[in-house]
Amino acid sequence: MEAIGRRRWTISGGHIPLESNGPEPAFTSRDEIAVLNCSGKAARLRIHIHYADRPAVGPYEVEVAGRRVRRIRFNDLIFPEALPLGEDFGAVIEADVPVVVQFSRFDGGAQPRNAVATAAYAERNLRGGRQ
Amino acid sequence: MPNTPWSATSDNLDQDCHNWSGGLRFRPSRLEVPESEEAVAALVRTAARQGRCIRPVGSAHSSSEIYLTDDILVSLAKIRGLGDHDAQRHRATVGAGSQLTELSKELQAAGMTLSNFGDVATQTVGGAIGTGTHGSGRNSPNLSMMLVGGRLVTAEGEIRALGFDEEPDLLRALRVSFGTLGILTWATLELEPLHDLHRQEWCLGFEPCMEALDRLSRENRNFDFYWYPRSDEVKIRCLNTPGEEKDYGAFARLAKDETGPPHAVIPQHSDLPHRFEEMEYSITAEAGTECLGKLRARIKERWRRWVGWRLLYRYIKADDSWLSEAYGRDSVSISLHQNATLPYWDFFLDLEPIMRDHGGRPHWAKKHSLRAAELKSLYPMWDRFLALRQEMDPHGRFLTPYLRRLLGC
Ligand SMILES: Cc1cc2nc3c(=O)[nH]c(=O)nc-3n(C[C@H](O)[C@H](O)[C@H](O)COP(=O)(O)OP(=O)(O)OC[C@H]3O[C@@H](n4cnc5c(N)ncnc54)[C@H](O)[C@@H]3O)c2cc1C
Repeated sequence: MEAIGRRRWTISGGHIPLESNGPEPAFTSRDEIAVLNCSGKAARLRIHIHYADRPAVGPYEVEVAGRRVRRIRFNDLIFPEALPLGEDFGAVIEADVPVVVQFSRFDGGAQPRNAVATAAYAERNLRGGRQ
Repeated sequence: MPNTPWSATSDNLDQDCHNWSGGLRFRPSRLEVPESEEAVAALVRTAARQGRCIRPVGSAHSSSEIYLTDDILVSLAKIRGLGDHDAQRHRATVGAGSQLTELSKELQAAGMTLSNFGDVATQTVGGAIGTGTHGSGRNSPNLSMMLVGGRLVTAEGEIRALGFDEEPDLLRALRVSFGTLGILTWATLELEPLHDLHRQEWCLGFEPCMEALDRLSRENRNFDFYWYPRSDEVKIRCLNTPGEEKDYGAFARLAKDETGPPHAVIPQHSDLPHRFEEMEYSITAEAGTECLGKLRARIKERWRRWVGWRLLYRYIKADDSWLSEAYGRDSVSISLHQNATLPYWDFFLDLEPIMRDHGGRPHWAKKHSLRAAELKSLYPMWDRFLALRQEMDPHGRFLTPYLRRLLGC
């Protein structure tokens, strides 16, 4: 199948909720991306995390097999550095083949602030190209 | 070239030395990389004449200060490789500067293998033995227990042949002595005939793992697990002789399945590009789960915000090496990790008392805050070790200010 999507995606409203309630990992509060790779080959993702008050950290390297979807919790990324919970961040996601990225948050804290399911922002990064 | 993270063009350094994690930096007055055992001995004789201190170093993977010096640092990187060996008795004499990865390939060609490894195989023989480096398994002692003989350069700069049968107490003291009794040049190791192991990793929840833990740890040759603080999940790692593995599919998801010789399937993180800091304590196997429970509660309550790294729980068979973490008791070790680029010390210091409350003994090569007064009560053979050390190195040739505080001498 032909690749669908973009090679570069961004998320600006990251903030992993600190508190969780209920059995884990199902009820762990989290910021998560779901990555759909429709192409026939594995997609290699390089993620850079940006913060409000310090330099960006990355790349976090993740692979998504061809013709698969993979959910990646920002909570679980530890290389090169674990993301702090409860802190604002933005993410720039670069893939070596076009993919579709969807961002979501599950906040299971005692006073959940919001639940978000939103498309990340995809840049039209192949000048004039279809992808 | 020295087998260390820093590079030196000759025996003089043009830059600071640092350890694997980058957290320790120091500048020795000289870095020596002798070509032979005789050259090591000559170096120690010169140091003795000049009243200087000399510290051996392996791959500098340790994150405690046990090899730091501002005086002479000696790398055994050129004393490496497989020497005399007997595949029938599976014994081999190997250079103490041999890196375990490289040595394992030579041993494989000779039909032998180390019986166990830690998580990496980038240590040297001298460094792994000297700190009681271990893997995991109820019937697997630490790697120092392989040492049955060899050759040591003493504080006077003499070359002394070693043999467990001739001098058992010397070997019991020497096995875990982090270069404070002498410099090991050649190590005679008790090995195993070459064989394959089947490695399987399974993911499951914390509670099901705890329920099955006793069985899991008994029915696998090598068994350990990671607990992930930000998902409360567990990954168990099981290694067995092919055909003797168990199927945990009823309550766990298979995440990895591979078969190969021990050096290919036990150490899995030798090429890890990212650095971390680590604190590790060993406690009795019986106290393990209670201690783990308290650590887990504390991490969830206080540290999850900053710490994403897993906690590692391993088994070590009791031994009789005087300063071994597992001296006289079947043990479990619990390791805490944090990215080297993030603050780690407050996290470690907050959890260290829990491990100490359970009679924990710190890993000599990793972060801890203990000094002689606290350590003495943890090691029944402490005084005998110190007496032997004083006898073998009366002028403190192998001591530094850190080691004097650590040992209380
Ligand atoms: C990524 C990583 C993974 C690790 N995994 C494990 C693990 O799974 N299990 C575990 O138990 N530990 C583990 N460790 C700790 C590691 O095994 C120890 O730090 C070990 O000592 C490293 O060996 P080295 O060759 O780097 O020795 P160094 O750190 O260079 O030296 C260690 C000590 O040995 C002494 N020494 C070195 N050579 C000689 C010699 N020839 N004669 C006398 N003394 C000598 C030094 O003076 C020093 O006191 C790990 C460390 C890292 C960084």
